[in-house]
Amino acid sequence: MADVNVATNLLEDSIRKSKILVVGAGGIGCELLKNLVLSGFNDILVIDLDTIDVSNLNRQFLFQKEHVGKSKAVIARESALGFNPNVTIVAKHDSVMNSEYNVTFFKQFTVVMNALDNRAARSHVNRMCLAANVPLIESGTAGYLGQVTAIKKGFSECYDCNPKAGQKTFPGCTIRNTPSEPIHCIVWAKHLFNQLFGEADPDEDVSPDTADPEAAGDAGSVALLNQASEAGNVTRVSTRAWAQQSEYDPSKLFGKFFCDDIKYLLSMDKLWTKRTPPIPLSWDNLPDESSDQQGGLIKDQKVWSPAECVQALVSSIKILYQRFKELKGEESFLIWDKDDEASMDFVTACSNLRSHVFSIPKKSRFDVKAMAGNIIPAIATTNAVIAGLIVFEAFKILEGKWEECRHVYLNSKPNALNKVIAPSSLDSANPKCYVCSPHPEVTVLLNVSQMTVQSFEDKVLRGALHMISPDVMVDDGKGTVLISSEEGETTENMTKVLSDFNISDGTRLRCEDFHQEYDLNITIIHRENLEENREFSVIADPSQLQPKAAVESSGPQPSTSSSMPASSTKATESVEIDDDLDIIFQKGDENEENQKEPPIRKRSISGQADIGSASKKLRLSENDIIEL
Amino acid sequence: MVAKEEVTISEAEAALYDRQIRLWGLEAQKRLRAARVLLIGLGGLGAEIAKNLTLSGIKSLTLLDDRVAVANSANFLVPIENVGKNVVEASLERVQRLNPMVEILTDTENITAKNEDFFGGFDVVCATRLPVEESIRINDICRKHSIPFYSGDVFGFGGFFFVDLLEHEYSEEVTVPAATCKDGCKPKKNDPSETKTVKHVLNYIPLQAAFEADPSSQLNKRSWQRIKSHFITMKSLLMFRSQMKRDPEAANRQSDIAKLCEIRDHILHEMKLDNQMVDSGIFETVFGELSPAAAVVGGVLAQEIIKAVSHKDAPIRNHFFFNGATDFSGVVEAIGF
Ligand SMILES: [Zn+2]
Repeated sequence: MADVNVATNLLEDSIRKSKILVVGAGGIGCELLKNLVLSGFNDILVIDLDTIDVSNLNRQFLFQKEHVGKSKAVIARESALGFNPNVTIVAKHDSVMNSEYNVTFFKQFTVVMNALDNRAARSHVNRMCLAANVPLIESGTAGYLGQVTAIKKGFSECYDCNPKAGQKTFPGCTIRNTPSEPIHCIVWAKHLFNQLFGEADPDEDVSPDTADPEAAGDAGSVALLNQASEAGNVTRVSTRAWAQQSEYDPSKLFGKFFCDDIKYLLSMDKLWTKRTPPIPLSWDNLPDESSDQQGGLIKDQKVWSPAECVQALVSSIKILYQRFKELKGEESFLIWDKDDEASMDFVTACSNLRSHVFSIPKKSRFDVKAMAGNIIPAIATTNAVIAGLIVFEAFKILEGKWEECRHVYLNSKPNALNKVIAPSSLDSANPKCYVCSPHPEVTVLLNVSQMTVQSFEDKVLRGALHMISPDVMVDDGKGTVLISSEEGETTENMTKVLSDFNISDGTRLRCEDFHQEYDLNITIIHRENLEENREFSVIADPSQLQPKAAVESSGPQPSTSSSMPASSTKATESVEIDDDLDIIFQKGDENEENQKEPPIRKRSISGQADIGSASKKLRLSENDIIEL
Repeated sequence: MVAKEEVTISEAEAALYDRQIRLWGLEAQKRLRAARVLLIGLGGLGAEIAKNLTLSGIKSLTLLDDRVAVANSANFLVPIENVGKNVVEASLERVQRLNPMVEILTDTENITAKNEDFFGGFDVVCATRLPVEESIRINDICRKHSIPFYSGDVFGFGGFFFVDLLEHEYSEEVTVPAATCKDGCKPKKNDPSETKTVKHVLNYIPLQAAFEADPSSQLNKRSWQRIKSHFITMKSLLMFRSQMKRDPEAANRQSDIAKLCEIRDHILHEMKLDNQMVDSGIFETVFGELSPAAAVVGGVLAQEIIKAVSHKDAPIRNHFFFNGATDFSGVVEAIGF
């Protein structure tokens, strides 16, 4: 039931002839497909990797209960065809980052529309559109807030032109030794899950950290350490092996993590001179204080007593251990999932038991889920408005009116100009952008004698720089190949450290991502140690680098407004992201009206004031990710 | 107003509404669960409002429209095979599928046949596609029964809505710096700031007063500059609808634009304003109901209803305008106060 005769003839014609790629069939994607079909677009490809969950149904209106578990892209296509059976919609249940979606694939579209929920995919599609020279409309929502912007190579800023906000990190010793907030215990509980059932990561140790600088020189703890090592208590590698010996006996696990390890921490008495010392729990004598003031709440909003935590711990360990034993073939570990009952019960129970031990307020399963799963709440109305605004940007692009394109914000209340929907002019591209400038460059600070090639590829190139299939050559005049995207060509390099390839302070690396058609020069700066135990730090604008001496004397890092966030640390954790998240850019309230109206307290009363941090141009991405 | 009886949220509802409960809280969700909404007019804008409110989990939604479903409409709730049937009946199945937990009721009578008693059974009344005189009649009835009233329309690339919440109390969470201790010590550097709930009251005026107001003299110069084009356009379109007993049609594009200009000139003359003030080009983009415009206006309007029902956060007072053809902004203005 397309309503096309309301637009101008010229626009109608270009709508009919256009071919649109919709990346994501979640909250924004569903609304967008409806708007596109109803506006007369008749050639659409929608791609989404995800399947439908019951918590999607309050806003992803193309899906109903009977669709839970099915492909979002496939069902979205079926439902959208109900609005007009005569349009062509192709559905791909797939990741847009797969290699078949190459630059040639992107070139077939008139406009690409992102309706995504994560930074890596946004960054990737941004590069593909730049390489294919196809206009991209980027969007995101978080709660009542949303935004839309248009990206055209050479005309406006790209998704990566502005460094994104740094991510929250917690030092390893806070997590392992001295938690003081619920989130510290939740992070610890997720690490414990991985130590017992998940992908083993030595950076996610849950035992007491004897190297805690605060406890240095503590003779008592050293003595106890030896004793503990004999008992097999604090040996790094064997948490899982140790658990397997007892077939994951819940009382033994409980005894270690909530009693023995806590006693050990207490022996590091320097830690407790200014802190409330933890109180070990006893399996046989668990407090079961029932709070009566929890009436009227939904089940998940009630806070468990320690006794209730242990009940949940026992039953969840049983289920998880059973699943773990049944793993076959290539699957060798479980993956934590906020939507899995047993996984959530385990983390809720363990985090609250630890909170109890450390006299930290306990949290309900509902709240633990939000923090552990990094849920950014999404609602139907915000998605509907944003999806409408995307189509208006598309109209302007189709008419070739790029100068009329806007970066549009949806605010939760009127801004100083009385605008709930506030457009501002597109910014021009950052000439030093590490993605869209003519000769992209970044500087990476790391320790060349500690960083392995494998870590460099996984954490720096793929993790922080969002590459898909990097090739890396050392710029040493000999053309030494460090990393090859060809299977097996550089496997033997992976366990070596960078200094094994004569990479030292000042060495340049030429990186190429064939799939993204993206070249990047990396300058390595050697640092013995980085602030906050970070493994590396990526800096987009080298002029922001401070003199080496200043940095090494534990001076502040270059500010995040000019540097990339250090996206990986010694204890790294990327929390899985809920859909629809995002958001993107934050700026002051400059808009086109400033030309007609006197400038009104620019920035002081920003329309985006309630996005949170009041700092400059942050991209508050989905990656409000808790990174540890 | 919403009944005071205790509403409970089942576990199934908690799972379905998980994300929005995280955003607006359980108390707001319970208030939504008790709200009975009357939606008059099921065009493109009505369909968006119906979708958004049904998804949000209100108690019941009554759809009222005596027109038939037409092809090429922005109402996405009508399956193509239902074209020609009454639009409310044609849309029922798809609305109900959006959320089986909401009671969807239909009414195919003409709104003018509805007397005062009819409206008493609702907690919110939202009108679209109505002549302004009829909206004023309903608004007056709603006032007698203390029922919040909304009226809005989408014309082509843009749209607007009016709100009358009578005397509306709402609460708002504000962040305050963490309290200092009694002995005056400073809060710790990283102390999270506290949120506290503050209550406010807003007063509204009836549609008739707002429609007859002269914002060019009432508003400050800057505010008037910002909304003058929106306001004159809205008024021209509503008066066109009343005089012509229909909306502008693409089939009569040139003559309808001429008629709109004539109405606009009359309005400007009455307000003693410069004839050149609103460019006639704006009327080029008022035909039909563009789906993305309905999505934008319907999204903001439905969120306002959710806000009002839950008595949480400051509602818009008392006009919202959006234009997707010229300035792409969504502006709020208090007109007639
Ligand atoms: Zn860029």
